[in-house]
Amino acid sequence: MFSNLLYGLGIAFTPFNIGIAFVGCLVGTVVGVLPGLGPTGTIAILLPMVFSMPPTSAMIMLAAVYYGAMYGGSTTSILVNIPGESASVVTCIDGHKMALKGRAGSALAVSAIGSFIAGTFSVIVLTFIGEPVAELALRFGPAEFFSLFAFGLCTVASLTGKSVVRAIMATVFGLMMATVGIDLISGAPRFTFGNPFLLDGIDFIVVAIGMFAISEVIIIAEELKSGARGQVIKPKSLYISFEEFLFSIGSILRGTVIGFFVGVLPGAGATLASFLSYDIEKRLAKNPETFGEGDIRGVACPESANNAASGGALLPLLTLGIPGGGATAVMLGALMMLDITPGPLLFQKHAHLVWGLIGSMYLGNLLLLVLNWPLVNLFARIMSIPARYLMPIVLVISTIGVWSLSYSEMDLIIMGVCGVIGYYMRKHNYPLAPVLLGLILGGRMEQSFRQALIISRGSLLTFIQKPISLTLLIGAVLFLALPYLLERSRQFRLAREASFEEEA
Amino acid sequence: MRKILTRTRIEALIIIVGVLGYAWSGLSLPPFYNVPGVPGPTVFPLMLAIVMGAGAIWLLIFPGEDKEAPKSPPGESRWRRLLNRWHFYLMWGLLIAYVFLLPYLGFVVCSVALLSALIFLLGERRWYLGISIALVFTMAIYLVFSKGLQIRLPLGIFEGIMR
Repeated sequence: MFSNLLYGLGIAFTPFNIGIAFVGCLVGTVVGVLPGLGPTGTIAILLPMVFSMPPTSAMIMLAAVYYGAMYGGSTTSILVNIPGESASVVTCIDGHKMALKGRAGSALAVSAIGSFIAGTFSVIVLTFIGEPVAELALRFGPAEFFSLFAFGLCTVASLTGKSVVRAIMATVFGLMMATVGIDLISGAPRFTFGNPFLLDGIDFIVVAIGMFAISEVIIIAEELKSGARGQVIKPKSLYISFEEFLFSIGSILRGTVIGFFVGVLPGAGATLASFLSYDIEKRLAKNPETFGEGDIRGVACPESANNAASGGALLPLLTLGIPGGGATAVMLGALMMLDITPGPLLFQKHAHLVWGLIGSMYLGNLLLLVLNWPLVNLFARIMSIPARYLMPIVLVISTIGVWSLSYSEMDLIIMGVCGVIGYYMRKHNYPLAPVLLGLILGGRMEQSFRQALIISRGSLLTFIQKPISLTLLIGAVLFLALPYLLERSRQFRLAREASFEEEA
Repeated sequence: MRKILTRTRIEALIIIVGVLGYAWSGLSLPPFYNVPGVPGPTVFPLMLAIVMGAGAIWLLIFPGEDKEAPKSPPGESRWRRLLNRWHFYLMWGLLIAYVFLLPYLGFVVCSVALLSALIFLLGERRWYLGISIALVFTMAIYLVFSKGLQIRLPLGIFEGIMR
């Protein structure tokens, strides 16, 4: 294990990869600070630019953007009362109250330290249990994989958005898009309508940029007409007293553990982790009435949880090839475009990539601590860049990103159409992350479904005769029932509604 | 009186029509792709169509509550409301025009036009500032992508001058 880690650190600590990790962390922090622009859209926009890099460096950069955004998200929550990311929505409650009381420095410090502890903890766990989990998954046959995909998609549908039916429909819409193109098993061209361009299928990057980046820009532009941004509070000092740190360390550790386990669950993600950990922390507190009035634990806990969750989400991504949300789905797609088959064999066949990525995360968390603590004032200033300049530029860069994929007009048109569909879906309570997940997992899901049926000679019973497959399918059904069972839980509902906006 | 044809129901009907089209297109594959005893290329799409159809029928039966339409001052007509949102429609129009014209007119012309127009639409009234920002960023993006990342950007009418 340690030799693998040393091997990974050796890869991560080359000058090029250190530079790449730094750029990723920087972009992630900026994206985290800017409200609206989230990691999914950004990673999608960056994809065409990282393809010329070696796969390991590309993944180091994309992952750094992803977990870097979680660090940056808290800054605006605390200083402006506008969450930079949906995962930092809860941080606003106590974080901004602390800032109003002149304790912005403590809030920022505890959020940076908590994020660092949580981020590092999740990388350590990933280092130790990643390979054993992947080895366990090697025993999976096609039936188990189909059930695993079904489980992943059902948890996403259950935990994002306001309506489960709409979330399921969004997932199926993604799966339907995945069926366009040549069928890998029979060679039949499906849903191509005679258009040779569609034979290769619909490119997920085009869909991701259209649905996440383009629709987001239009929505921000629309809101820009109606509302002004808040006032940025300038922190007096950036230090936290030792007493305050000791007072919040318990919350940091609890948030870390809760966040990691929630993050591992496909679909649950950082938003749910932060809501859940805040709720649990409040219940455990001796004086819960101080929560909501500027309690430092109300910042420490959710901020640790969302960072631990973003690390946790990489576990199913690297070991099983199952993404937990929009951003990890785009990363999975990136792996596939780099000609790397995601799944349990990743640890064996692409050890360079996996261990290099894990090694870089130790460095990344350290870099982010520096970027988000001493340099936090610098990033808070990014908020003052007028969105009326920024958003049109994002639009142009997104379009160029799509153009660069294959220099095709058809891609641009599909991007535009996806932008319109994404806008409509966001406005009418259809979550977007499941569409992307469906599109990216669809091909592998169908393949494992049909392979399982070929092996069982057409008997659907194969999915319930295998114990792992049966357990996963029962889990999938339970997850779909969860929102109905917990309908009365306000926290759960709020968390789901917040994850609707997750990782846009 | 309760409205029967709510927005959600119209949405559900459109989805049902789409699903029927999808299923029909999926089933109309030539039969030689289907090998007896092996699940063919139509099985999975058909399953998806059934789930999607079921979801749409669910929405048709239980549409839930529609979001209230944006409050408008009394006496304001529907057309007036649409007219008030002209910024928004123009933004979409510009975006679509950009996507269609980019390969023909070239990156520089289209981007300067789009950026200036959007910056103006989003509230910048100092036109000289808007156009300068548009020009500077277009050139910066061009240099980074075309020279730095070696991405071939369409130059359209500037093809001869800039290459």
